[in-house]
Amino acid sequence: MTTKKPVTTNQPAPSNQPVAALTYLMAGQVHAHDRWVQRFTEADRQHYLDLLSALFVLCADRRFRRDDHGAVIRFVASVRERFDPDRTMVDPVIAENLLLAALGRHETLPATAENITVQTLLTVALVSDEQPSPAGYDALLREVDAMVTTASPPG
Amino acid sequence: MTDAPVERTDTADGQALQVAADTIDVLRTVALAMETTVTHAEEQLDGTRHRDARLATDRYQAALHEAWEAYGEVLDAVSAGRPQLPGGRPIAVASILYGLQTARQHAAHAAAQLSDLRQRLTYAADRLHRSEHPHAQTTADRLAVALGRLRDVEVSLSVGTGAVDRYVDALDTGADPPAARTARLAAVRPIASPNGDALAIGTRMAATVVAANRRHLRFRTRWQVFRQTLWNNVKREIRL
Repeated sequence: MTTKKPVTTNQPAPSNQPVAALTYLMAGQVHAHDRWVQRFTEADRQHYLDLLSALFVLCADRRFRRDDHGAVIRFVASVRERFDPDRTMVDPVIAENLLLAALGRHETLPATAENITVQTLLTVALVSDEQPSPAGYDALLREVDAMVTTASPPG
Repeated sequence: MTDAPVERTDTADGQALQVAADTIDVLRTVALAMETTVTHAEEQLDGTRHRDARLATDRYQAALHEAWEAYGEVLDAVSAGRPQLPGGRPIAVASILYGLQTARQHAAHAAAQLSDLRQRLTYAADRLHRSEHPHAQTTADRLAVALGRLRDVEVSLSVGTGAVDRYVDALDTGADPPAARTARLAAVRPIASPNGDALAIGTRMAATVVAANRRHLRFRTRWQVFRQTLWNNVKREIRL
């Protein structure tokens, strides 16, 4: 089985499996992303979630001012327009609350499959909107990695 | 006191450097005014065969190019000269803050225009799109492209202004320096730790949606970055 590189970089795929999977997802290469996810160990799964969460929080902090609820509402509307034309996958209330939680303006949401779906879609849209260059995307991932390393271990 | 003449020379050099530094603001204003001049002239004269029309746009473009070159030269000369010349003062934090606040005000002004601009363009595109005239359809398509670009402008302004704010805060008050910001953001948890099933299902559903809407994902490849740089260089050369 061959693995195609993500379009965002000409460098070899990262050896770190969760980072590789996330890179493929952000590039829209879902089949490669799925292949990596299927190989995850339990530790990989947790690391992937930490990375996804850190990327979401970082991009939200870069994009929105804490007090600008209007910009959050407009962004959620644009995500639904682009990724959810049938209006079935992205609940706007959940999406807004997730973004507000990332900005420290709402409490943590429960870990349901629906919430994870919405957070993942919002993250993909936030990263895509920035249209990072390969170097910019690498820098983004380095910052995310620093956040995950800085965060205290769960429990 | 044999050092006195040397000190006077240093002071005079430093003052001369400051005089040059003070012109940077004015040079930028001149260059920006030339941008507006060229834009207006080209909008009216582009494609006109009259020789004076062509001469006017040619000369305005040359003036624009020279204005930016002069601005760049003075900026580079002052930046390079400050640490070399004994009388040159380092750039004050207050000066950096003033410049960034000015940049921020302009960005905020631009961002404030976007909402209304997009509404009006959306109306125009929507109306033209419903027309049966083929030229109206073409115009509507081009307006839709412009709307997409304006959305990119909104995102870039938002991220850029946020970065400026953080930098200004760090310079001004030392608030939220990079390491502290990383620690602050790392502590945020939008979603509680899920079990494996929720994560697998959520990830799978999101991936399906991403796959179905892949056309909305936009990244710049290395080739696109190179092409943009190349294009900017060509435009600069054309203005010569």
